[in-house]
Amino acid sequence: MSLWADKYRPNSLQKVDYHQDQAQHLTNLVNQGDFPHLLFYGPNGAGKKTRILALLRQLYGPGVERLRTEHMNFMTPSNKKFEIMTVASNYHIEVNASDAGMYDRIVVMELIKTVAQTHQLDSTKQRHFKVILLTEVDRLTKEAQQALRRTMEKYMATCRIILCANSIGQVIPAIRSRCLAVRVPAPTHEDICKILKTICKKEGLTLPDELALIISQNCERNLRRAILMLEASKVKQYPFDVKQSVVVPDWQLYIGDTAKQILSQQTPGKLLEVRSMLYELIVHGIPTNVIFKFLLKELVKNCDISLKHDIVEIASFYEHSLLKGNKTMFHLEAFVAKFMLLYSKFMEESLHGIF
Amino acid sequence: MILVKLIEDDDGLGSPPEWAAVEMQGELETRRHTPLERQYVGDLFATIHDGVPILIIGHHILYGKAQTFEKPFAVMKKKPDADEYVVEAIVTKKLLFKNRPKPIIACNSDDL
Amino acid sequence: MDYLDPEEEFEMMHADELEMMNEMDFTTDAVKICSPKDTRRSLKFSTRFSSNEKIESERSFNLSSELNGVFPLSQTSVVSFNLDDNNENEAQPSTSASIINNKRYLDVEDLFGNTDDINFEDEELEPVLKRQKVDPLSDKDIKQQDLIKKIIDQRKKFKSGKRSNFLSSISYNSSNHTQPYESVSRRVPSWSFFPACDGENQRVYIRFRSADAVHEEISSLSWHTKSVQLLSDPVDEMIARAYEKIENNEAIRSGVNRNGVSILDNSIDNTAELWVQKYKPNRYLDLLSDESTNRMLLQWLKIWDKVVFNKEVNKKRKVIDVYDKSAGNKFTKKNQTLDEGLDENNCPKYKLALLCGPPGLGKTTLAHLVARQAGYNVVEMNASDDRNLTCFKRQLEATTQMCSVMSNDSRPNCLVLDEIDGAPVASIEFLIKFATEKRATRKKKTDKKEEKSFILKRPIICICNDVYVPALRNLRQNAFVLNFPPTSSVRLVERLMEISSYENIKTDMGAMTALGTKTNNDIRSCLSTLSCFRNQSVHLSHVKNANIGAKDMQKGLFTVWQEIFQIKKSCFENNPNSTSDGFSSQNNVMKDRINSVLKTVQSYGDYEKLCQGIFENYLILKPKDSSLTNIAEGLEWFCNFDKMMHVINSSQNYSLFPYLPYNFATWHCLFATFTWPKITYPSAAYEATMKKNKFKQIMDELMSGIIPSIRTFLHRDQVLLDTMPLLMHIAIPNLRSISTQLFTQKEKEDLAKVVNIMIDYGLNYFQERDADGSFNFVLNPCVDDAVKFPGLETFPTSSYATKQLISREIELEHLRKRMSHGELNDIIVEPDGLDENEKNVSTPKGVKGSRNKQVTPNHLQRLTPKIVGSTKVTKKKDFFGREIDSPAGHKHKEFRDEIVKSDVWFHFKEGYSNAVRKLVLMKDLY
Repeated sequence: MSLWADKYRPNSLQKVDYHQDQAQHLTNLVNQGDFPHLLFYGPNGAGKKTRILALLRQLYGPGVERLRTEHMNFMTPSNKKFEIMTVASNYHIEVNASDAGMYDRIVVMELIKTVAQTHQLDSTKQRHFKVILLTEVDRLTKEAQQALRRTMEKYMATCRIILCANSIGQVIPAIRSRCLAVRVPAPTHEDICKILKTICKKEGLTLPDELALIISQNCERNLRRAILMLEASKVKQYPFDVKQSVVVPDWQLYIGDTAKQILSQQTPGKLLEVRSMLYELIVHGIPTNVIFKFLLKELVKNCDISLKHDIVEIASFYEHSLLKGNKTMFHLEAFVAKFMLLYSKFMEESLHGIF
Repeated sequence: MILVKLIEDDDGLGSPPEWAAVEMQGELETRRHTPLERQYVGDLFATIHDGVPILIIGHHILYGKAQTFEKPFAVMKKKPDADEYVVEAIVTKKLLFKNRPKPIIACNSDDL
Repeated sequence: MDYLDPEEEFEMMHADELEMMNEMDFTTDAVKICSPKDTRRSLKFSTRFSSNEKIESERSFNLSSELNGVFPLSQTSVVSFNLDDNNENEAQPSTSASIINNKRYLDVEDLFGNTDDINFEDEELEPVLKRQKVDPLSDKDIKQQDLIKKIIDQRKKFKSGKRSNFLSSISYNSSNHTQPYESVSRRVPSWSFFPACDGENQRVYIRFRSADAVHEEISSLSWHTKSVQLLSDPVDEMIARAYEKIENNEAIRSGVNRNGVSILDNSIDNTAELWVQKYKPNRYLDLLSDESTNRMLLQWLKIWDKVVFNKEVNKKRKVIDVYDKSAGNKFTKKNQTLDEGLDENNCPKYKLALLCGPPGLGKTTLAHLVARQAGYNVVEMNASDDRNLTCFKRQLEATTQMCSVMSNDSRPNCLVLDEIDGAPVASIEFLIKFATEKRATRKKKTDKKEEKSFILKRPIICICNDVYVPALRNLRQNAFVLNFPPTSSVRLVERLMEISSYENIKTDMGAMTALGTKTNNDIRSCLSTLSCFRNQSVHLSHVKNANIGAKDMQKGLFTVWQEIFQIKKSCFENNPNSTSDGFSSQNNVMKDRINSVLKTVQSYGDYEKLCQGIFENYLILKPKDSSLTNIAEGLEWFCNFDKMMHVINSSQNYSLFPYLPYNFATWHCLFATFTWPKITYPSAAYEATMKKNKFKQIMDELMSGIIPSIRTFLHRDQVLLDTMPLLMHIAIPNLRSISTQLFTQKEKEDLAKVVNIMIDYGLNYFQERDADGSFNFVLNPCVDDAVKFPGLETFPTSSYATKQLISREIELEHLRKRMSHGELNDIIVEPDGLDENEKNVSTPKGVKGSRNKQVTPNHLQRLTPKIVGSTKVTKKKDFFGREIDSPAGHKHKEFRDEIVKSDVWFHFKEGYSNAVRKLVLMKDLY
């Protein structure tokens, strides 16, 4: 009785709706006995976590679904205390180490040590290892990753580590080599439509195909988003109308607005307005790469083909320089200004060309 | 609250027997308010466990310690008419139970 | 025969003379006569006594010349030396009438010289002499006659060789003949002698003296020989020298040339005194700072007269024109109007004065001088003293409440706190508290006794460079703030010209003006620079090219921004910093501009703040052209700056640091205009960070509230981007505003679903009071704020009633869940009532192995004392505190207990039993 995204989530590897062969491989892996460290990676909303939990269920049985949240306290070398929230069951513990910020290395080390040093109670019925699930591994600092690789080797006997990342490029090669990498690709549009339809059927609703397609196109192949959008649209208006506007997260609309502003006028005054809009986005916590991506998408939509190449180039340049610096505003504004310059030049030339 | 109980400790003939006192901190009561005389109270183990006397009353177990009186007591009985007293026994040591009694639990071995 | 100490002897011999000398002290007279002649602007460096010294000795010589001949005086050189000494030590002003006195007095002494060694029968002569000094002119003649007579008598006596007087014998013996020798002796002497008998038939040996020797002696006593002299040099020479000196001095004084500088002996070049010290103004008139400022400080100080000196303040002073119009510069700060009112303790309203201004203006000098002028003794406390709270307190109290006992100086203290902007805040706070204390005693509410606190009754002058330092914020409000305007260039240059002409440095007005501008009118700096040009000529080129004298001045933040955003017109003028000779070409101007910007930025130091300011302001200011080229390029440099800073900060590698100011130079070239820029302080970045933190906190709260089974599937980013915005759309039940019983099945389902969703995500509605008193349901945690964007149409929200309903349902759901947990436990426990007691008791053993279904959860257990065969059993309570009836029939169970063997049970009683001993006598028992 919750969000459809939660309700219809498959909880076993047999029940997943797409990438079934991969699920089959995973089941075999579980059944064969020894179990390696795993590294799941893929875009958001592809189903990594779902598969991991399903895998755990395969390993340990339904007991793994009884979860509780715990707060673990850690002490830094400089005698500073901080707290991390973990979700655990009797068989596994999940933690997001990058929540600790600078001290993620300590979290990784301490946690694994504590967990690895307690053996399972009943050794006959169950596996002899526990599972540690680390999420958002690509956001860990390099030091934490180095610490992780050593710990992974050392405590192999009593615990297995499953890592979950968005992009594998941020994970150091040493860890990549110690794990079995499982790539969970984003579902295709057909997959998404199929799933949406299944959900509607289960809910007893009718969903026109076109609407399903529109939703899947708007959701960036992010299944969670797709389902949520479906539900929101249903709340907004049911019975579904093909023409209805799909409910989209607010920030997307806002970025669209920003892009519109940029395209409307290319002056310093406008730049100032855009700056305040960008500040709003940053303040709400939207990650900067998401801002860049969406902004680029919106801007490129309205540009001529000859410009697209240049714009994408400057976008990538400034996104890269943003990562090298601290102040996001400088780089965002630099990108916008550059774009404005290119765009206005282009417009002038094209106007000039007309006359 | 001293309740002196006497336990015979046969020493020899001639000299009065030596008794020991058991001192507890509390009251003895009966469940059904029967008089207390001639009732079985409990078990006293005075010499086991490295000299730590143990008293078991009902569900409770008391641990105590043995002490000697600096001035021994004498138990005397008055001769009925005369102003004479007969020494029945001499009390030289006492077993002091001043700790809180600990409960005794039935151990179900298959559970634990 | 006992000889007195030479000094004592001398004192006695020459006591009169000495006293006369004292009264003849006209040194201060001379000063007073000379001073009005001096111009206002001159510096007076002559010591007080140098010119008068010789005059003094001249006078003394006159005296001694008249005296001598009658009597051989000993230790003449000593006389003159001591005389001078006495003169210099004495500072008593004397009236000019005393000169006349001395003159008259000389008559007596002239005749008889030193009359001390004459032993008068009646020793009243000495007091008489003394008395004569005190009462001038009156009955002096009569006294003189007596004196003359007596003197003559005594001389006669002495001449007869009588030695009745111990004193006279001593003095005679020590009287300094050229060769001291004895003429008469009672024993056989070593010289040639002639034996004789005296009146008592005692053998006496008399010396033979040659006739030549006698002649010599006589001639040596004459007036005109040089052997008897009071002074080491002959009189004529001395007179000649004295006249020379006078001439010199006159020349010096009149040689005060048109610039008003008196010339001291140039030969004293090796004193190596700092020019700053040497030419420090000693008088109020010599101060270089702005006159009105000086006057204001003096006025403020004068207000203190009432309480310190108990002098009435002259109220008739005209109202001081506070605003310094003479400067004409619109940036001159307006000084406070001086409130001359006194408070109830007769102290001025502002007990502290705060002088502020850039360094090298003369603030410290002014403070010292003015305080001294007003009659205070200045105590200074500056940055080299320990200024933590304890020391500061001690010093403050010592200065203001006490005065010096050792020195003769009985002036009250005035405390000058120099460089107070560097003092610790605690000390400054204490100072303010100390100064603003109104009542003499303060009653503390807690103590019964009154706490005596001191009111400040002495003036305190504080000096600082930067008045806007945060530590001084409080001080500014409680003190009389005097802002020092910069020294006027004209006066500065004049003073520099004086000094340079005095120090034999050839220079001209232009060079001095350039020097002044180069150092920003800082007199200290100018003097230091000038001292490097000793005995040379200083021209304009020297000033410009010299790499000394340029200060690394730190300008204010806004000044720096202004410099970056504005092209200074003075670049086209004679810029002391420019390397060219004044001819400006386009390249040079650019180079100059860049150089000056670089310098300013480098001396400021805080690049990050500067950068932020430029970033926030450059779009607001009207740029040169409205094309975006410049802006785009400028932004590239911003990115560049950011990247460099990141590298520097993360790797602590400061080798890139010197490249940072070039960013600013570029921005100057890109963005600067001629108009005056209105700069706002950059606060947007800070505000943005604050808001961001706030939203982050909301998200954190949300994340920790989500139930675990859902939380495992979520990242924070996903929650933020996907779930929350859409959840806001979803979690709106479509309900009619009617009572709950009337809901259709669908609506009930809807409501239930929404409630479930909200519980899953840990959301709830809470009632809050609005500003205008109305109640409103607010989502908690405030996710809707975090997700909303301005300018967009917001997601639909439910009505007040719906929210209320939802909120209530959520609460109920929570309750139900909790109860279901609790009921589950109760059901587990009840069947085995047998073991109830044991179970109660078994809690201390710890619950190991949660597979034991019979163990009650911890919060339901109660620990009771184990009562054997007790009838009373603790009631089991569930979560709500309601008792659960245990099955009846307990009493029958007792005997089924295996452990309990007897009927007796022990009732333990807490406490100590060692105190109660009651004496029981045997008779009490029977």
